[in-house]
This record gives sequence, C-alpha cells and structure tokens, in this order.
Amino acid sequence: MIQNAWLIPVFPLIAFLILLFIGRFLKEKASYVGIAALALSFIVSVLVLFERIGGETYTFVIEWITFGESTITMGYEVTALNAMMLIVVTLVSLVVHIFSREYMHDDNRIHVFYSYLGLFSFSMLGLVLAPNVLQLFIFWELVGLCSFLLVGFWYFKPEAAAAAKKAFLTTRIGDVGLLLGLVILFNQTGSFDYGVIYAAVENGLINDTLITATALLIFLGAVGKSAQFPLHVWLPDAMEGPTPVSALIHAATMVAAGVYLVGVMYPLFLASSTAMTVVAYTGAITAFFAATMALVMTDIKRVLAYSTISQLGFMILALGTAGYVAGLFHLMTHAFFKALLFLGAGSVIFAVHHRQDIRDMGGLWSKMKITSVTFLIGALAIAGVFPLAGFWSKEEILASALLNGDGFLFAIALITAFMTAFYMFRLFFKTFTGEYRGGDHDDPHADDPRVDAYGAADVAEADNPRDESMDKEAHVPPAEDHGHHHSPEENSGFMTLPLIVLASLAVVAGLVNLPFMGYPLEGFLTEGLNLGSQPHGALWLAILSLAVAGSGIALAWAMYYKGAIAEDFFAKKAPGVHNLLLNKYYLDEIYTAVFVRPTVAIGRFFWEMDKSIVDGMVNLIGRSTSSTGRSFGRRHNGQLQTYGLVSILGGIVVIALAFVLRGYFG
Amino acid sequence: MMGNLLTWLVFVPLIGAALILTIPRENVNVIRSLAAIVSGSALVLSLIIWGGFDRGVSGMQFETVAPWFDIGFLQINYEIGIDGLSMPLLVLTTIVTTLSIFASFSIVKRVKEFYVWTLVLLTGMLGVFVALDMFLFFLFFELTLIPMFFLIGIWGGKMREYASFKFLIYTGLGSAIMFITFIAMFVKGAEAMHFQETSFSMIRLAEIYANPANPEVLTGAIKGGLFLALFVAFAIKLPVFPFHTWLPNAHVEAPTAASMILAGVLLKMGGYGLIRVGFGVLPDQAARFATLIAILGVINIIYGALLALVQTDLKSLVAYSSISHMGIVLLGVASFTTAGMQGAIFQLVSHGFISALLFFMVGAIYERTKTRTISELGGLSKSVPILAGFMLAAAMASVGLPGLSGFVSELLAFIGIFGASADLIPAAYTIGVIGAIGIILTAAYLLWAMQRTTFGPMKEKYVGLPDARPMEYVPMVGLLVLSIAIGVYPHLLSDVINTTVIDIVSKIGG
Repeated sequence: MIQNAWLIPVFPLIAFLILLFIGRFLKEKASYVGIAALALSFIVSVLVLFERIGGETYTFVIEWITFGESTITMGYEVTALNAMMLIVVTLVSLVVHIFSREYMHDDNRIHVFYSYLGLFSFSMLGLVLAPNVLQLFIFWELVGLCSFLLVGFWYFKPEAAAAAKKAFLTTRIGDVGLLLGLVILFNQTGSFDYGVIYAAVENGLINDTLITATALLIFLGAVGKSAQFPLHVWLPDAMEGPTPVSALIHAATMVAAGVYLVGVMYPLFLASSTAMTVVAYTGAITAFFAATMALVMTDIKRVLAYSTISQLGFMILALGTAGYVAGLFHLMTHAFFKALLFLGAGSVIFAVHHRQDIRDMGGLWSKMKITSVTFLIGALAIAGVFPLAGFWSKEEILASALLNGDGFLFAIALITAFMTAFYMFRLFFKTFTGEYRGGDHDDPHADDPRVDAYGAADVAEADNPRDESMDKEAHVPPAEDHGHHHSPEENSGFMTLPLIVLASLAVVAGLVNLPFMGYPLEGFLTEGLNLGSQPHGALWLAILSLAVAGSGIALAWAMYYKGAIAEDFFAKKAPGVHNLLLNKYYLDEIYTAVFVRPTVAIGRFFWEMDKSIVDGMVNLIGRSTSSTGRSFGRRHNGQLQTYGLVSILGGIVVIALAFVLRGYFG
Repeated sequence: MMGNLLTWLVFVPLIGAALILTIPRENVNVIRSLAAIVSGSALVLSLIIWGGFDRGVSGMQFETVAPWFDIGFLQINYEIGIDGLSMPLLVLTTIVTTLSIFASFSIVKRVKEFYVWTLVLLTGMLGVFVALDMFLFFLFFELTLIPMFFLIGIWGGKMREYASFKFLIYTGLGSAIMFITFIAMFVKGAEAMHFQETSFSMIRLAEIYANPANPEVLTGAIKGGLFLALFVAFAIKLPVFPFHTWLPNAHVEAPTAASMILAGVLLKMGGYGLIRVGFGVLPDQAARFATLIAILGVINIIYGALLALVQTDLKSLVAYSSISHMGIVLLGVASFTTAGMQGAIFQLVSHGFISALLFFMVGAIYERTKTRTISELGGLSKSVPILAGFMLAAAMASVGLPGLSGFVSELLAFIGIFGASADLIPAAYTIGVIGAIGIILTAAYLLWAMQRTTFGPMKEKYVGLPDARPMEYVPMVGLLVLSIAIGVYPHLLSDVINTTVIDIVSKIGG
C-alpha cells in the first residue's frame, strides 16, 4: 500500500474537481463527496502507517524540469514523520468534513465550501508527502491559497475580505524568506532533496555563514505560516473564516506546517547554534505574548486563535532546544485537542445563533452535554492535566527548555503554561457555567474582539456579522433558519460525532510516547536520523507542570465560577496593561504606520515622478523638436500626428528604397 | 517541405488578410470566422512544427536561406529558422492571437479592417521570431508597428489618438535605433573580415564577432557601444525603466484584443531581440554589462510593482504589473546561468499567457460594468461569479502561485541570479534579495485589487450583470489551462528550451 500513498492526496483532489464542475447541482450532497474522499484518504493513510512501522522509507519521483545539467524531480515519499502527519491531517480533515455537513448546511455555497476543503486537503497532504523541499514549498503556497479562499469564504463581508488578504500577504513575507533560503541551498547543493541537503550539511559542504543564513531564511517561512511573532498578526483575523476552517487550517494542520518545516529541515538547524537560539527565543516569546492576549479576548474564536499561536510557540521552542520529538509530538496532540476545541466552539456558536462573544454565553453545560464534556476534555488536555495528551507532550517541551535551553526559556514556558490553563478555563467557565446570558436580543457585542466586558459595557449595537451586508440568497441568516431564538440545544450527530472522536484522541494520543513504554513515538521518528539524544524530564518536572496547570485552573475557577475574585480585578488594577492587551500591543497599527503607509506613499511619489519627469521628458522632447507645432490648432495631438506621419513615411521610404534600388524577390 | 513550413506559418496570416479584403464588409460573421480559421491554421502549423522540433539539437532548425537582393557588398538573404528560444514564442504568438480573435468577436466597429490588421500583425510577429537575417528581422519588427498603431488608434478608448501616436513614435524610435545599430554591426563586421564573406545574417555575424579576421576593428568600446545601442532599442519594447512610459497609455487605451497581443506577444519581441541579437552576437558584451542589466531588472520589478500598487484604474494596474514582470526576464538573462536564462524564456512565455488572460478579464468586466476604476467595482464574485473566479485565478497566476506558470519562471530566475558568478555580478545576492521584495509587492497590489473588485458587498448597479458567455470561455479556459499545464509540468517547455539555453550560456562560460 505504501507504493500507493499517492492516492491519499488524490482522493480529495478528485473531490475538488467534481465539486468544481458539478458542485452547484449537488448542493448539500456535495458534503458526501468530500466526506467519502477523506474517508478513503484516511483508510489509506492508516494502511500506509502500518506498513511504514517496521518498514522503510519509500520514495517515488519523476523529472519535473531540467536546466543545464540540473534536474528537479517531483514525487512522493513516506517517511516516519510524514506517515504520522498523514494520519493527523486526514483524520482531522475527515472529522471537519463531517462536522461542516451540519454547520454549513444553511449556506447555499456549501458546494464551494466543500470544494475548497478538498483542495486544501489535497494541498496539505501533498505538502506532507513531498520528497523534496521545493515540492513542499509548492504545496505550502497552495495551502496558503486555500486559507485565503476559505478565510474569505464570506467574501461579501468586508472584514472577511480584509482578513483573507492580510493572511495571504503576511505569510507571503515569510514565504519569500523561505524561497530565498531554498534557492541558496539549491545553489550550494545542486538539489532540493532532503537527503542531499542533509548530507551536504553533515559533510560540511556549506560554509557556516550560509548554513545560518539559510536556516534563518527558511525559519522566516515557518514564522509566517505558523503565526510566530512578529508575523502572527494574521491568524486572529483569519477567524473571519467559517469555524470548521479555523479548526482544520488555522489550528490543526496548515499553521503546524511551519513546525513541520523546521522538523524536516532539522539537520540544517542543528548545524547552526545561532539559528537554534533564534528559533528557541522566537517560540518562547511568541508563546508568552500570544498567551497574554488570550487572557483578555472575549470572542471565543479569538481566544482559541491566540491559544493556537501560543501553542505553536511551544512547539517552536521545543525544536529550538533540540526537542525534535517533543515539538512534533506536541504538534500531533495539539492538532487533536485544538481541533476539538475549535469544533466545540463551532458547536456552541451554532447553538447560540452565530454569536461568538463569551459574555453572551454561559450556562451551556446543562443544555449541550456532549459539547460541554468534550470541550472540558479539550481544555484539560491543553492545560496539560494528567493523563491527557497535552500533559505528555507539554512536559517534554518543558524538559527540553530546561535541559537544553536556559533558565529564561524555562521560566517563560512555565509562566505560559500557567496562563494557558487560566485562559482556557476562563473560557470554559464563561461559556458553559453560570446563567445563559444570550437572551433574545441579537448579538450585542458582535464579534468585536477589542471590546471586553469590563472595559466597555455600552458597546454600540452591531449587526450579526453573517446577517450584515449580504443578500439572503447567498446565505440564509441562521437566525431565520433556527426559528425564534429558542434556547440553545445540543446539535445533531454530524457535529457531536467529530467532537467525541477528537475528545477520545485528546485523551489517548499521549499514549504513543509514554515514558514507561520506552517512548515508542520517539523511536519511530528518530530512527535512522542523527538528531542527538532527546531530552526527558524527571518526575519533579511532571509534578511541577501539573501544579502550574492546577493553579491556573484554580485561579480561573475562583474568578469566573466562584466569583471569589472579581472578574475585572486585574483589569482595574492595571488598566494600562489591560488596554495594551486588548489592542494586541498595537502591532496592527504599528505595521500600518511603519510598512503599509510608507510603501503606498513611495508608490504615489514614484507615480507622480513617472508622470511628471520620466514621461514629461518624453513629451518635452517630442514638443521641443517639433518646429511646426504652433501651426496646428490642436497642440498636443497635432504634433504627434506630424510625428506619426514622419515616422511612417520614414519607414516606408526605408523599405521602398530597398526595393527600388536592387529589389527582387528570391 | 519541413523548411517551407516556417514560411507557410509566417505568410498564412497575410494571405488570410488578403482574403478578408475580398469579402464585403457587411458579412461580419464570415469575416470573423475566416479570421479565426486563418489564425487557427497558423496555430495548427505552429503545433506541427513544435511536434517536429528536435529537442536535442542546439542550432537552428527548419532553416530556409534564399538570396533576396544585394546592394554592393550588402547581401540580404531571406534567412529564417528556429531554435529552442524561438520555438515556444512562435506557439505563444499563434495561441494568444487566435484567442484574442475569439475575444474580439464582440467588436462591431469596422470589423473587416480590424481582422485584416490583426492578421497582418500576426505575420509581423511570427516573422520577427523566425528571421535570422537582420534586415528581415527589422522589416518584420516594423511590420508589427503599423497594425498595432491602427488597432489602438481606431478601436481604442477616449485617449486613443494620443496613445497610438505615442506608441508609434516611441517604439518607432526604438526601431530606428535598432536599424542604425544593425547597419553599424554589419559594417564593423564587414570591416573585421576585410569585406570578405560579409553577411547580414545573425548567425554569421555572431561567428564573425567571435572570431574576427581583423580583431583591431572590434575594440571593446565599439562592441560595448553596439551592445548598449541594441539594449536601448529592445529596452523600449520590453519595456525597461525609464523607457516604459508608452506602455501604460497604450494598454489603457487599446481594445482588449490588442492589449492581449501587446502584453502577450509584442513585449516579448523586446526580450527575444535582446537574447537573440544582443546575447547571440555580442555575448561578451552582454556579460560585461550583466550587472547593469540585473540592476535594471530589479528596478523594473520594484518600480513597476510600486506603481501598480497605487493605480486607480484596473487596466493600468495590469499594465504596470507587466513592467514589473518583465524585470524577471532581465534578472534571468543577466545571471548568465542555465537556470536564469531558462527562467527568462519561461517568463516570456508564461507572462504571455497570464497577461493576456488578465487583460481579457479586465476587458470582459469593463464591457459589463463600463468602468475600470477599482473603487467603483466591488462584489463581482456575487454578480459575475465565473468571471470573478477567472479573474482571481489570473491574479494568482500573476502573483506567482506555484502550480501556475509564473512561479516556475520566478524560481528559475532567482536560482539564476543567486547562482551568478561573482566575477559577472559582484553583488548578486543583494540584487536577488531586493528583487525578491518584488514578490511581496506583487502579492500586495494584486490581492488588494482583488479585495476591492471581486470581494466585498455587491454594488446595487451590478445586480443582474450577465456572466461569462460561451465564446468568452475559449480565451479564459485556454489561457488558464496553458498556465496551469506549464506550471504543473514545466518539463513540457524546458524540454524544448534547454539545449538552446546551454548553448547561449556556454558562449560566455567557455
């Protein structure tokens, strides 16, 4: 079956093509095409994984382009790492496909949605199966395209259109770095193949400066894609896309591609201590800053978005401190529990008539049992509570930061772990416990992340984002479809089944790398690779990390459940900090002022210069050499006509001369 | 027969034009069909030649040489032939022209003349890409000017008169410089051979310049001057900053079909001429000025992109994007590597398809909304979803999204510039990095334009606009499929180009 691994991305591609051409006749049935394709992909992925365990890496390539003596090939490869990734991607994609069947069924462009999902799954799987880093880049860009299309799925919403553009452009900055890194590597090694690059690094064929430079350039790509500081700003805005998209693309798979990239290029990074330090600190800083912003957001999806950025920071931190397995292990467990949390959020949003502000939720525990319980499991997992998946992978990251990093990195990681537990349970308590605050009125806070309960209670009435500026044809407003704002209730099996599957994985996924079973995942992933020994923590570290998670949960419980501490306690203590966090450190404003506006201003300046000087000279020369100009009534055109005539006549004379002098046709 | 195929290819459109002249101007549909058939026949002929093209041969194929006339020692031959550089451009020309003929079925004004000029133009363009005698090359080059002048001047927009004359004079000036330079090249070449076995043939001149019997005649200063003069002549056509200002005017005013041909093929004559004559006859001089060419390439990329960013008119945005994208060609050729040279040729072909598609889309949208002002468009995904979808695809192709042809050319050009030898281009890395910023700017102006035109709430006045007509699918699907085909499997093209590229690059390496 491993030889047929190419089938895995091809099934979703076929689904995409089917839906592209005949999707509008299928409408809702389009979902079944997508679900079937992903189910097949998943089955093949499982078979491939079993064959790869105990088997060997399989590679197949064909010639793609030849220039001079160089040939670039394309094909597919099944390694230990991508066999694991195939499972993660196909499984999450499959459950998201199933979930969307219900979530998107009101939308009359549901077939378009499923076609994009198919294209995304194809691209993401193509990325994973790539046998060389150029092919990875190609699919890397394609997943970026899909992200653009899906964030902008409700293109008629100006915010969605802006967010789609921002996502594409911001990641593009990283992509250019990545492309340059690859180009330089190619010129050094003559190949894009992983194996050739590893060998060149190992044999010292590339000088140290270039190794550091290319590693950092490639890392820039990861920074963009995995939303690391300072390029993270696109991911929270990307929440304008439908929630299943946020779960699949902006939590579990595409954003993890940056981590995966660092993973597949790991020998290059290991060869440069400078690059490793940059990677570690970028990850730590990102993890910390994103977590601080997650503390104050009130949009359920934005809390999760900042949480995703923060968790990706953890993975990057692990990779930067030689925790290869730790980083990739966390990638896998995070994919499951973060997809779970996003789909849980989607289930909630769907039930409360497409509102996303947690101040309008509450009390859903009794109304939505499956969603609540599964969400709680996800929250426990991400907080790192024993024995859930997140506990095992996060503990390894802490060990890696402690043993191979420094005190600062370890402290940052611990503080972030505390904040993670706190903001997740703030989210959980606000959403599921207490009284339901949704009422009958229409979404008063409407998806404005900068508005917090303690900050501004008197927000102007804003429209439900999905009712706004769109015609009924495009998307039946959910409010209408669901009738009369009856109180929230549990959703159908299409939505709860994925939650149950993911919750089970959030519980058991940690088992694949249990310490007392000899770290099986580690053995699988590092076999045949020279990546050094993997750091493991002592028992005290596990206890410490549990204590940190517990205290975070306890604080959230005291503030948001028990009310022992006022909810606005910290906001009142330090309003400046609170404001800074609400405004996301003003980074968007800073970028606009520093990069966007000056670029446009330079463009305007050049345009004026172009019209007045560059073209002005042309017109001036045209005018000044024309002595007959004044005799023409039409100043400008008159002269030009003269010139035109002269020019044509000149041409004719030249040609005619040639013929007249000695011309004959041979 | 094989040799005559090229001659047939070049002159079939001219014969077709003559045929159309005999048809009464009222028979609009007959004229349209005939034009499509004639251009289609040229397309088929070019594909037959593509099929018969020997990928392993580095020299000229399908050659025909016949004495034409002579003036004293000046012997002019009808000498034509193709290699891996001209082969793809021939097919590009017939495809873009045929599709632009389909794209112009909506034209109702002076239909007969329109197609006559288009077919004459086709002969001129094909002639440029096959001519090996410099006089013949010049004649065909001139032959493209007049039809395009009329296409813009008669069927263009409000400022068509200004734009068409500016086009004619500006590029006519380029031709004049080219002609004088050709004469000078011939004279110096003749002098270098003591006036023995002189020739106006590019192939022969390249040999003479590489191996002169009297080397003192060809001093560095003279050869350098000749190369720079050639460079300016072709730079106007490509166009290269600061000789680009004719282009936005011409594009904005030109009718859709003419814009497609202008961006799709005519600009490529500049790049082709530079490689064929400049690099072909004077490779040492091309290498000498490699840094200058690379810097101009980067200026083109950045300057064009910055100007595209601030355009308010969608069509002039696409026009400036052409300037930016032609910088990639300069960057590629300057590197003197197989990757860079191939990237440049790829870019000529790829941009031909992509820019033609973009101009077609802008035209189709203008036809419906009667505006090209970006701020007045918006929400087109809702009112004309299929057109908007193709528009987005074209924009993505232009952005250089992998899977589409533009990516391959950019990749190769950057591999080239980063791999350029330090003797040739001392600051190649710096130049490459600055050029790469253009990739971000390109995404910025195109996505911003898409956000403002296809995305966003639908405007009231655009409710109920008709979406794509069946005839419009021909150019849309045709161009997009070609861009995808080359993008997904560039071997299709590299296979034909590679041998010639090795040959060109070896002239400086060896």
